[in-house]
Order: sequence, then C-alpha cells, then structure tokens
Amino acid sequence: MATAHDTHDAASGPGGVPVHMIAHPTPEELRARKAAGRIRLERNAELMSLSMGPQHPSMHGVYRAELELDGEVIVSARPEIGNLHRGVEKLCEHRTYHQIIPLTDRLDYISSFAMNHGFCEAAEKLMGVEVPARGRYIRTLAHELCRLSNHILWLGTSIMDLGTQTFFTICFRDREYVLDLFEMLTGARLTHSFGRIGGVAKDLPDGFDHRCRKVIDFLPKRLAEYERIIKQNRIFIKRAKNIGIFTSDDCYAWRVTGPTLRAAGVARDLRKDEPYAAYPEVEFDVAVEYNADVYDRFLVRMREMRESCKIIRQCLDNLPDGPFLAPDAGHSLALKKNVLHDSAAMIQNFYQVFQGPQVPKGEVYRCIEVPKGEMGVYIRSEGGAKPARVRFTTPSFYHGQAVPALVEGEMVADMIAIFASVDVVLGDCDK
Amino acid sequence: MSDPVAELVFLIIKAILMPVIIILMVAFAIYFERKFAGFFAGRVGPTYLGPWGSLQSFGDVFKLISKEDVIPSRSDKLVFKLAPYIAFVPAFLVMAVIPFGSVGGEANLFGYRFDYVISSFDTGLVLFLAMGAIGVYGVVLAGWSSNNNYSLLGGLRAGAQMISYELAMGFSVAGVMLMAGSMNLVDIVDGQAGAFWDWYWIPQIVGGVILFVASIAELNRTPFDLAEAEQELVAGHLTEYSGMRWGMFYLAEYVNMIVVSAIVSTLYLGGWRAPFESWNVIPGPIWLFIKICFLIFIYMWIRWTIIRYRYNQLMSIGWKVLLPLSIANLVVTAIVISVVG
Amino acid sequence: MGLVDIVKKGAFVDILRGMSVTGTYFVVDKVTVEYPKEKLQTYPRFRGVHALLTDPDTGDTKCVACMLCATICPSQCIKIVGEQTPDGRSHPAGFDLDLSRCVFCGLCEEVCPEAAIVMTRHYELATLDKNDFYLDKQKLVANQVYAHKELYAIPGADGGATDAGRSAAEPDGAAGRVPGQGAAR
Repeated sequence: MATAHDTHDAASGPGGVPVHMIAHPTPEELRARKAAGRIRLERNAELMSLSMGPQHPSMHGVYRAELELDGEVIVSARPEIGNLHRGVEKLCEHRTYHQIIPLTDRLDYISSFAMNHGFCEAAEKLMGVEVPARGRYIRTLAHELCRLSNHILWLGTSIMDLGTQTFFTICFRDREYVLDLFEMLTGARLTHSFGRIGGVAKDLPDGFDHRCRKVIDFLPKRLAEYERIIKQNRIFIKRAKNIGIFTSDDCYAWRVTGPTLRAAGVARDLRKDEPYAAYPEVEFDVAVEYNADVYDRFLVRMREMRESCKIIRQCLDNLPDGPFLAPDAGHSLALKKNVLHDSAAMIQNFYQVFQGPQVPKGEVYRCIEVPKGEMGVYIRSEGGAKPARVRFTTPSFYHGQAVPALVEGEMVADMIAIFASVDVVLGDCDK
Repeated sequence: MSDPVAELVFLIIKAILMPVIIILMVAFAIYFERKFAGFFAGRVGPTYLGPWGSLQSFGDVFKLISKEDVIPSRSDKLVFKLAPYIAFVPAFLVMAVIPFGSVGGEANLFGYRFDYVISSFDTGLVLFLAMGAIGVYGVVLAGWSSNNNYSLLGGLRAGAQMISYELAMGFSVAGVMLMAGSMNLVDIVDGQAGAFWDWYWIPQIVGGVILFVASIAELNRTPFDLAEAEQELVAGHLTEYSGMRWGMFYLAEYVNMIVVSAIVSTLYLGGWRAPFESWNVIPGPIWLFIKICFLIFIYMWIRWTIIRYRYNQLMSIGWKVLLPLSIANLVVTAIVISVVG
Repeated sequence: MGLVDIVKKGAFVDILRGMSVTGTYFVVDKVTVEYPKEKLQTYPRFRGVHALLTDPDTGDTKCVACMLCATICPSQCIKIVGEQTPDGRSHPAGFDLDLSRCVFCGLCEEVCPEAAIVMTRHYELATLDKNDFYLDKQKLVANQVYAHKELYAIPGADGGATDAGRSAAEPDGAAGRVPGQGAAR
C-alpha cells in the first residue's frame, strides 16, 4: 500500500509524522497552496514584456515564450513553438512504412526507440501483424533503456537549470553507460532506428546480457548518490516544494500526461492500463505522488528509473527464445542471414522494398507510454504502401501548450524550474 | 642604512611583491577552479596548455586581450570603463593590512626589523568592511552604465544582495573584535597565540560560519550567484562587458575570494600561526597560504555541488536568519567576556 | 521542527551530505577519454560511413545494382546506374551516395542481398571540402579498409553481428566502458 512512499524518509511529513499516515492533499487543498504561494500583483503596474527567445541556455530546445512580467511575477505567458518543425508528418506521406521508422527517431530524439516503438505498434495494429515473444521482450528492454536515458538526461538538465553544472556532467557520465548499451544493441547512440514492423531489427548481441546487467546493477547506486546530493538539500526543497502545482484537473484540461500527471495523484500508466509489448508479463510498480509540485515530479521520475531497472532485469531473465521479427512475408522485412542464401527471403525483401507492405484500407490509433508521457500514433491508410496520413500526438506538444497554465502567477525564477520539470523536448513538440 | 630608510625600502619591496603574488595566486585560482570543476564531476579539467593544463589562465588572458573592445554607444563611457576597477582595486587595499608573519620584536633581517605586514592599521577590520562596501559600487555602476534595462536590474539585485550580507558580516567580525580587544588584525592574530585549539574558531564558531556563508554571498558565488547566473532571464550586470573588461570583473571576483579567505583565516584560524607550537619553525607566510588555499578549496567545493537560491529566498536568509544570529552571537560574546573577563 | 532538525539545519548536514558525494568523485578515477589522443573503439554494429565490398574472386564490387538500397533509403541519397558486364553479370557503373543527405539509419545495409554495401565503424568524417561528402563508387570501394572483419564473413553474416558476428571478439577499448572498470583506455 505504501509503495509510492518508499522513497520518503519516515519523518518527512510536517511534525515528523510518517507520510503514509497522512491523508493525501485533495485538488482543492493543492489549489489553496498554489494561491497561498502567489505574490499579490499591483493593480496598475506597468507590464514588462520579455521574450524568452528561442535561444536561451535554459530552454530545452528552441521554445519561445512571450512573457509579460509585473516585477518578478509572470502575468501572462504565450508560447510559440514551431522553430524545429520539419514536417515529419508530411514526409511520412511519401515514404513506405519501413522508411518512416528512421523519421520517427527524430521526434523525441532523446528516447528514439520509444518513438519507433509507438509507430510500429500502430502500424502492426493496422496491418494485423503479431510480434513474436522474443521481439516483444527486446522491445520492452530497449524501451526501458530509453526511459532510463531520458530520465537521467532530464535530471541533469533540470538540476542544471537550478544552478549547478556538476550535476549535469555526472548525469551525462552515467547516461554514457546507457548510450553504450544502445550502441552495442542498435548501432547508434541516439537515433536508434531499431524497431521494425513485426519486431526489432537485430537480436541481442553477444555479451549484451552481461554488460546490461552490470549497468543496471550499477545505476541504482548512482541514483542513490544523486538523491544524496539533491533530495534532502534545503535549497532544492525550497526551490521545488509547492512550486508549480498542477493538479489533476489541470492535467486533464491540458492533456498533460506522464510523470506530471502521476505526480498529481493519478495512477495512469499505459503500460498497466492498456498493456502492450511484454508489459503484461513483467512486474513493476507505477510511481505516484500526491503533491503535484516540482519536487514530486522529481520523485516520480527517480522512482520510474528504479522500476525501469527492475523491468530490464526481468526481461533479461525471462527472455524467450524464438524469432525476434515476425516471419510475415506480407509486412516485414526478411532476416538478412536468410536473404543471403534463400531466394524466398530475397523475394520477400524485394517485395517489401519495391511494393511495400500490404496494408488494408482503414485507420488506427494507438497510444503508448513513452518516457515523457503518452504518445499516440494515428495512421490512415488508403491501401497503398505509403500511409495517407500519419499523426503523432506527442506529449511535449501538450506540455508546451500547458505552459501558460503552469507559470502564470509564478515568479520568473520559478518558471525555469517549472518548465524543466514538465520535460519538454522540442523535437517532440514541433515534429 | 638607518632604520627609517630600511623601513621605507622594505615597504616598497612589500608593496610591489604583494600585488604580484596576489595576481599570480588569482591566475592559479582560476585554473584550479576549472580543474576542480572537472574533478568534482568525475572529469579532468583543462589539460592541454602546459603540464596538467596549468598555463590555462595565461592562455585565457591572451585570448581576452585579443578580443574586440565593445562599448555600448549610448552608455556612460567613463563610468563603464571605471566600474571594473572599482570592483577590483579595493580588495588589494585590504591585503595591505593583513599580517602574514610576525610583527614587532627584534631585528630579524640583516640587523633590521622586517615586519610581515604592509601596514599595521589600527582599524583593519573596519577597512575590510568598508572595502567590501566600495566593491558594491563596482557592480551597481557596471549595471547602470550599460544602458541596458536588464543589466540595471541585475546590477541592482546584486548590489542589494551584497549590502544585506555585509550587515551579518559586520556583526560577526565584531564578535572577534570583542575577543581580541582590538580592530587591528595584527593584534587579533597575536591574541590567538598557542595551538589550534586556542584560535578563535572554537569560541566564535557561530560567527565564523556566519561570516563564511555571508562571504559567499559577497563574492556572488553559488549558492548566491543569481547576479551571474546564465539560466536566469534577467541578464546580469556583466552583460555588456566583453574581452578584458569582463576579465577584470572575473579577476576581481577571485581577488575578493583570496582576500576574504585571508580575512577568515586571520580572524578565526590563527592567521600565520602554525597549528602546533613547535611547527612555527616553518615561516608564517606559508601557513597563511595553506589556510587560504584550504578555504578556497571549500568555496569551490560548495560552488560545484549545490544549486542556487532564488532571489527572494536569498534576501530572506540574509535578513531573517543570518543577521539575527550574528547579533545574538555578538550579545552572547559580550556577556561571556564581561562575566569571565 | 524538533531540536534534532534545528541542529541538522545549523550544521548543514544536508549540504555536507551532498558535498561528500562530490568529494568522492573528486578522488576516484576520472571518466574522461582524452580525444584525440585516446579514442574509444566502437561496437561492431556501429553505423559509420558506408563501404562497397569487393568480391576477392572477381575483383569487382559485390554489388549487382539491384536498386534495393536506393529504393529503401528514406533520404533518397543513393543513385545507382547499372550495366551489364561482358560476362553477363550486372554491376553498377556508377554508385553515388550523398553523405550530406544520409541519416545513417542502416536500412541500405540491412536490405542488401549481396552484403555489398556495409556500414563501417569509421566516423571521423569532418572535412573542409563539401565535395568530400559526395561519395562515388571509387571512394566507397576505397572505404573498405574501414570494414571490420565481421562485415566480410559471408554466408550467415549480416553486415553487423548475428551469426558470425556473435563470436566476434570484443572491440578493443570497449571493455572499459562498463561501470566499475574505471576510465576507458
């Protein structure tokens, strides 16, 4: 029952009462706390207009926000996105399903495989392809590694925004281990292009199991060190507790999902609610906190990182044998080793490359839990090798849109902390 | 040579050597800052220029000198050019009153007396506080003369921060003054004769910690470095400064750091005295140097570990926590001294 | 706040805890690999610059100009002009790969039925002349020197590592990139 509070110390509630004996704050209480922290605005103050322009050391990407300030307090914030728009959805209309996969890498470039995974799940639902067990487990493993990579980077950049560069460097130092695993597995550190219709591109290489276990045994110790530096630090508590309260009602109104929603007390995680890949078969907990502030989002993500390590370990332990790519001649590419000597596989490849997969007419929407929130992929097909319309509803788009609700009324110095805590990456936002 | 002439000669030598040594220490302090920034993060710092990268600061100086000197066209040019020096020079004046060895006593050099202080100033402590106050002018004038809205705000914020913390500093050093009975730094060090348990850091622990924390705010270092933070929207007072002018502010920060470390070690850590009586054969300046290096290391350790405060939290700590504590420290010290004698 | 909390706050316990962690980082081995003096070896599957492998028997490239790679490329960066050799084989007269368009996705390597185009481990491609990014057949064939031995193992191999590549030795230098083994060489 008290699983969500394992990361708290016993005496962390007010008056030293153990946290799990306190009733969780209701949305009304949270709103009251938010109002109490607000600074009273002067009625006839002249507003200063400040453009937090596309280039700024703290903005995560080229995100622009037009702020109107009354002294230190933000009166209005208007976001402006689109500086990184590359027309990915339009490009998808002129490429076959296999060619779209490298494009999806570049959406949320920090957790590339998660984007591949989302698209592949949607395309497989449309085409009716069933992914073999081994493929599902490898997908889960790679997805959770993406989650680790994403959250470690989030931690580093977010604490750097609050003031220290050391934390950024040590987080990146530890993220190197995860990126190394990806390089070993997929061939690239960042733009993995590892998902395929029907499974994954390659099997786990030799030595991967050993190395992966070493990394996930080591990372929780590093996470404990990060917590030692920052979690009880009085300055962090002052800058993160009761800052940026975004209750569950606000989250519903602005379609904010992922760790921000879970920090507001809603235990929604698509890995549990609408399972896919190997998630029905692995055991993990959903990290939920109840105070909906920046501190709780930090706690949620730390917890999620530990759960990811757990999931990866289970995937490695229970990895089934069998094919990692569906032997589906109509929809998947053939395995290279077969293509080199088997003419049937070669013909399958020729067909897939020149004709494309056989896709029925129809439309599909599939939503999965990527590290930043919920990503939905909508594909409408008119029957050809190329989709008629692909739509990615990426979490950062909605988080970036929710910025006015998050920061209006807060101080400028807090805006940085709040914006960092909702984890916006512009590739995700602008597509 | 007669005594006054010898004194004059020694004075000239000290007055020339002191700034040179300080500037060299600053150059290496900057190098060590970057090296330690790397080490605390698990990486090596600069390694390219010189053995272990030790000549990095000199390379930086050359680079800064070769940059284009940009002065905003509608700024107040005189004040703009003067501001770095106002920030930079007062710190050197404080070094003139810090003793780095024994003062007074018999002749010790070629039959003449060499005092290890440039000036045994009777109100040395007040000079320290006064020079800190003048340093604030440098920051505020830099912000104002830049003709930039955000620089002005940044400069004012930095100035307000420095002023608030000076009060706490003043009250804490008053505690030492009471214990030593004099404001002369030479007397303060003489009052700490003995081993390290006789130094003032034990009875004045509260004052010492307050002085240390307030000095971090004076120096505009993390966790109180809002004025210089690049992640904050309001650009600091240094925005319009480029090249060597910015370099002067940067140097000023490190000179201030060295000076404050020297003051803290003089007031609380026994100045030029060795931790044990028998170790006094090693000359005084070496011990002072070791203590300054130790304190600078602590400053850097703190800077590269913790995050910074928000501005209103910073001000509230200065006014609501440090000032009352330092006043309480002073009152308790006064009571104890008048009772115990 | 109880007395213990006040004492903890006054003694800066939380800050000292944080400082103890960075203090340990200060003294342990540093993770920096001083590039370019030391370089890390990439893994066998690493997708670096492309190479066209030659068949040792015929001396000509293994490519049969089937156009699979050119068609699958998401960036349309491969241009092949095929021709028939006098012995009746099909081979490319011209094979152009525009590296500035390539996204290094590896699909070309994956679909090639002859294991002719492979992605080597070479990644130091920076140059001062933009024309160096337009690889013609000659340059691609010359890139073979970067192809590691796994890419040559033919039947059963796939230009990366499954069967033959599974028994490939660990790339040197990569051994250090696991936590607990200190800095990589």
